[in-house]
Amino acid sequence: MKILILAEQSSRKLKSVALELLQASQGHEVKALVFGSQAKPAAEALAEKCSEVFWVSDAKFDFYHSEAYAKAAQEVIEKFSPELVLGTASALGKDLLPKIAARQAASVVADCTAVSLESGIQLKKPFFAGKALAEIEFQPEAKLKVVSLRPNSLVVGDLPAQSGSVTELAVDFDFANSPLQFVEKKEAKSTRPDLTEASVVVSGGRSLKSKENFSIIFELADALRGAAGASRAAVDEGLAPHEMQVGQTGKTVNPKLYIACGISGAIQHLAGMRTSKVIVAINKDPDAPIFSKADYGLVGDLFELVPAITQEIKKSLA
Amino acid sequence: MTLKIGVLVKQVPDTNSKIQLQGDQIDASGLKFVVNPYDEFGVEEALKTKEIWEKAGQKVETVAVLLGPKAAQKALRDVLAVGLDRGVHILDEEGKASDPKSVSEALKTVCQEEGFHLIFAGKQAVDSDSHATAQMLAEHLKIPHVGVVSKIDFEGKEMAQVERAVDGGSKEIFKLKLPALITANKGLNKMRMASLINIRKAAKKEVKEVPLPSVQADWKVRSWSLPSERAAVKMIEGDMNTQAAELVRLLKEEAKVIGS
Amino acid sequence: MLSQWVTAVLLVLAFGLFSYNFWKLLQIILAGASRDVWNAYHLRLKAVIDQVVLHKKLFRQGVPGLIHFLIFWGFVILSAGTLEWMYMGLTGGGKFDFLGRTGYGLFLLSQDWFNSFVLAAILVAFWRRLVVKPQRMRDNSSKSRADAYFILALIGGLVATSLLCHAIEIQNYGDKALPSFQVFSSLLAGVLPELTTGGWIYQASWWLHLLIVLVFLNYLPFSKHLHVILAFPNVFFSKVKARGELSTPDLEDESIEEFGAERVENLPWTSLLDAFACTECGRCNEFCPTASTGKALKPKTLMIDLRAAATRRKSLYQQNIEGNAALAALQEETLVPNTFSDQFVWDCTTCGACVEACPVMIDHVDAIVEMRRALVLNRGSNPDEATNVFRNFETSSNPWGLSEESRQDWLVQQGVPLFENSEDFDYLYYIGCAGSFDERNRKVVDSVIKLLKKAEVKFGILGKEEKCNGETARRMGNEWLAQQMMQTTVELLNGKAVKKVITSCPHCFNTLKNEYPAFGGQYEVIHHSEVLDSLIQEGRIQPKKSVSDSLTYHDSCYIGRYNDIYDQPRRALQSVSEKKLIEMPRSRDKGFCCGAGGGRMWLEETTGTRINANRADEIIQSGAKRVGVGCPFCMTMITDGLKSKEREDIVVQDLAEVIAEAVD
Repeated sequence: MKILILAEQSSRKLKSVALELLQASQGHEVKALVFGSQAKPAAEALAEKCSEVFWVSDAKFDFYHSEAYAKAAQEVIEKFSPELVLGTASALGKDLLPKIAARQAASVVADCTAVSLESGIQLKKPFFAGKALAEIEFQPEAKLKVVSLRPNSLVVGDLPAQSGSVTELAVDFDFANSPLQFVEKKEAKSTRPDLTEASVVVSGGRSLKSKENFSIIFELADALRGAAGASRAAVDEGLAPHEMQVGQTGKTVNPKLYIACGISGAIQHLAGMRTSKVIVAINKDPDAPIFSKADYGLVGDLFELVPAITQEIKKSLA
Repeated sequence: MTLKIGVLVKQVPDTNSKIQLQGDQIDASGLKFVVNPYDEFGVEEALKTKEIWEKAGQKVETVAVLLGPKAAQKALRDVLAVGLDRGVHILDEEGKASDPKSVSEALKTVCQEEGFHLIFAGKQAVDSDSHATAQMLAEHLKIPHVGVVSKIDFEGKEMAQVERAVDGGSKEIFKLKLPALITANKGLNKMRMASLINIRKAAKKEVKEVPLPSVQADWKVRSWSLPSERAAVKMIEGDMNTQAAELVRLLKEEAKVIGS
Repeated sequence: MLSQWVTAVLLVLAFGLFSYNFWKLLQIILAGASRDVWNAYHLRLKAVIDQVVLHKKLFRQGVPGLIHFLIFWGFVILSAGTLEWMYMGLTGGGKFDFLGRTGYGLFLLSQDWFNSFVLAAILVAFWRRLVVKPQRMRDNSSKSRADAYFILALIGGLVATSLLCHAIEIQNYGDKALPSFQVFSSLLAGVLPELTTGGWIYQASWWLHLLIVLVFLNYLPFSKHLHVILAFPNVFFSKVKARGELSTPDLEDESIEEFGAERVENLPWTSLLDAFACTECGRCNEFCPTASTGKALKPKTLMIDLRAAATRRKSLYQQNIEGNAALAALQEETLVPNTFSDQFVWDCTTCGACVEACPVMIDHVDAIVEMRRALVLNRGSNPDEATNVFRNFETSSNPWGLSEESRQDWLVQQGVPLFENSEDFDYLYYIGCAGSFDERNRKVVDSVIKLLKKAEVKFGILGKEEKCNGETARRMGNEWLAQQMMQTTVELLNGKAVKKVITSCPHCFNTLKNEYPAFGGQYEVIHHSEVLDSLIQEGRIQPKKSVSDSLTYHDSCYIGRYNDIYDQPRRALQSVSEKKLIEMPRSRDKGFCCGAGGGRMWLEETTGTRINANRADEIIQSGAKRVGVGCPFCMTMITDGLKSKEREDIVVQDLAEVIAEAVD
């Protein structure tokens, strides 16, 4: 089977999820596509694991432009005529892959958590925010298949080395006359993500005791590139502004990871965060109701534990 | 001339619903169905845009488009009650349009007939979580799109500047020439409440039922399974440094929520 | 002869003017929406006897109540004297002596005593206003204060001139004036210098008295002392159904295009009568939890501003609006935001303290709910947090939006029987949302169930079939949603032929008991505090007197003020307490709301100080080590209030938990 991998890079490095895509494609003829003038190292890294890498090296492609990217992908697909286009369920992949599919009169299976290509195409995809898992079956008429994989879904083993080539691809796209114009990208470095959109939320409760002490919550949130929240009691006591309140009368959050620090877990709070995928509770009271809702629980002094966790996270992500 | 704004609406099980299987099928009997929450942002944005343009003297009609079985028409009535002008219901009683390709093709027929100047949709439907149909529709209609939008500023009726959320909290800003399609993210707005007066008016608004065009799905669900129930809390013991290290290890290796 | 004519002309003019002004006032009041009041005459009469004749509510405040009682009865009796005065003027000196010596003597005696009493009372009232200055009077506007002084001076003048004239008559007519029946006037006659009835002092006093009467009569329609006239009808037409039953508008009626009170005339005329009957005494503000914590809503302001809004709009009812821009603009004015802010309307906890406190039976709460209905049903305008709750009710039938599947799951797993039909069970235990989902309140339910089992009560629960009964949605003005919810639960309960229901939540209790009959649900509804009290009384559970901590009880508004359940929870708690229960200053019918009623549990409290913190202070001051509650919302609010005061050492428990601990 011929497979085209849509790979992504950031800061001149291949994103690790690309290795998962390669892992899934083992045993097949694989080519890859990367975008941007900065993507040379990524292209070269990919070339060690597949037969050919198409590198769209024009600096105009440094920022995502759905129309231009789709045109590039279309050209590669026409050249290579793959049976499967495999990408990541990232902001870019989620936006671009359907567009690529539509141009080929194909469909998309998005956000798969299991991909096996040993005999045919075996896909598992969560529905209802992960409350059910579907096994996907393609119709025989389906020609091209477009699939995106959720990061961290596959374990990457030893990928056999290949000596693929890097082909610079010049794409003829009329940026000036496109109805879509890229203006700028605002990097999130300085500002924390919005609470309701964040994939990680760290919240503090009344037991932080002062506004200043909330800094340990912010530090952990920043280490995880997450948002900081607070319980109603903390907000009522003036430890945090109302915009940070998570719960019944505050914001409803739905992150992958929720860390509740010194929050007892009143139902008013749970109502705002119970759909979080993984819940960590840190509390000095082993009987706090929050532990019955948590996946991981730590009993102890949050003024010691939270900074310790921040240190560990920094170490691990460095 | 009246400008038409289309709003794609899907009926989905409420996110509070507990999903259960009957045999290897989803048991729909216990499910409460609602308007897809992300579509609500599209509905509100259509109403706001109508207000802005009408203030500038432009006549605007807002049209909700829904694909689904007859029973899903409740969702259309719900958004009409919030203020959209009329609805089009593409009837699909047997669920033939089961993947983004078939749904987007079915929507294309209606949208072409309507000739929308602007189309809003939610960034994804919370049942299939595919975040694909709207972009595919834009492609079929040969209009540009920007997805996952949390801010829109119109420059007249032909141009909009939009802000799109990408990974890690960054934002990409685009200018978009209409006609175009925009998918809405949380934070764009909050849908107004339907008053009883408007609920009553909605019952009298026009809903056109059209048959499902001949479309072909590329894939369907072969079988369903449920993830294992949330396990009991794992208490992490030890001194504070051991606790911290063990937590980070578990989050990385077991829960797989950090480190990508 | 001349003086007879002068009297007649004065009377005709004065009564004519009064009638004209009063008629205009009636038009304003009757412009309100219709309300059927021609029913339950015995209850209405009883209310008049209790509140007007006997002053029951006013007497709760001791001295001021007594003073008002004396002024009121003095006023009634002296009105008879006023009639004689007018008769005298019209007949040229005729008296009521046709009553016979004894009859007339008693008449004179009553006049003499009451003139003197009222004079004394007026002096005390002046003293209170000028020297003591109670808080609720200090809140009054200067106009309101001037009004009070003016009226007190008029009444003082009235009785003083009457005493003076009677004294002079005694001096002149001797025994013919029956001095033995007029002790105080005789005393006065004794100390006064000799005067004649023909002299200027008598004549001036006589005419002054008549003038004061006529001035007073015509001042009434423009002053808060209108209550002299309107208190009686206001009490008569006050709500006779259960206080906890809100009106049930027909939402299916397609001819109605606006619901609730969008404009002042959408309020029932009884509410407008309330506004004009208001004396501005300020008792409502004194007991109101929002007025006491510095929030926008003040029940007295509600009445004063309603009165002003209604008066402003009177030109609308009398003129042709077409083509008149000013009137058309006035017609567009709505209660919110033109008269009241959104905050004002949403502040209310519906605790009913104002209604309970009002001596003339004004119903503030129903008027507020009518305004909320207009906001929600006509405009879809409500606080954002309310939208979330409404949605959660719609999709999950509980305020948190938790999965219906998990409602009461732990009880079903324990094998608590499900109520299938009334043959197997005596009672349905309707647990309510808080008891079904909230970890803390689940423990209360565990205690109730333990005690019911102990007493071998045959009861069943509804498990995941139970739904929220609609109370909160209703008090938040979402009548459309509330009626659907109420009908659903009535159908469920009727389908199981439920006859007797035990509830743990006072809000469920009130709605099931008082509001469900209008939806076809007739049940005997009992709160668990009543059940536990009677089980203890009957000896079916025998708790030990094992609580040695000092204990106080916090009244829930919806079982207390709304349903008069004060003694049962106290008796039940006392049965396990070694010490005598501590009563807080604001208890029983004066109980202070926890801040959660009327949907406030689901809204942010961002203005003023926190209501639950205010109550927590009172609990701390009482010295109690434990607080008994009977409501899941009070449980949450009081616990949080004490936490915010760093007094987590004071234990908050439902009375069922306190009793369960004392039973093996």
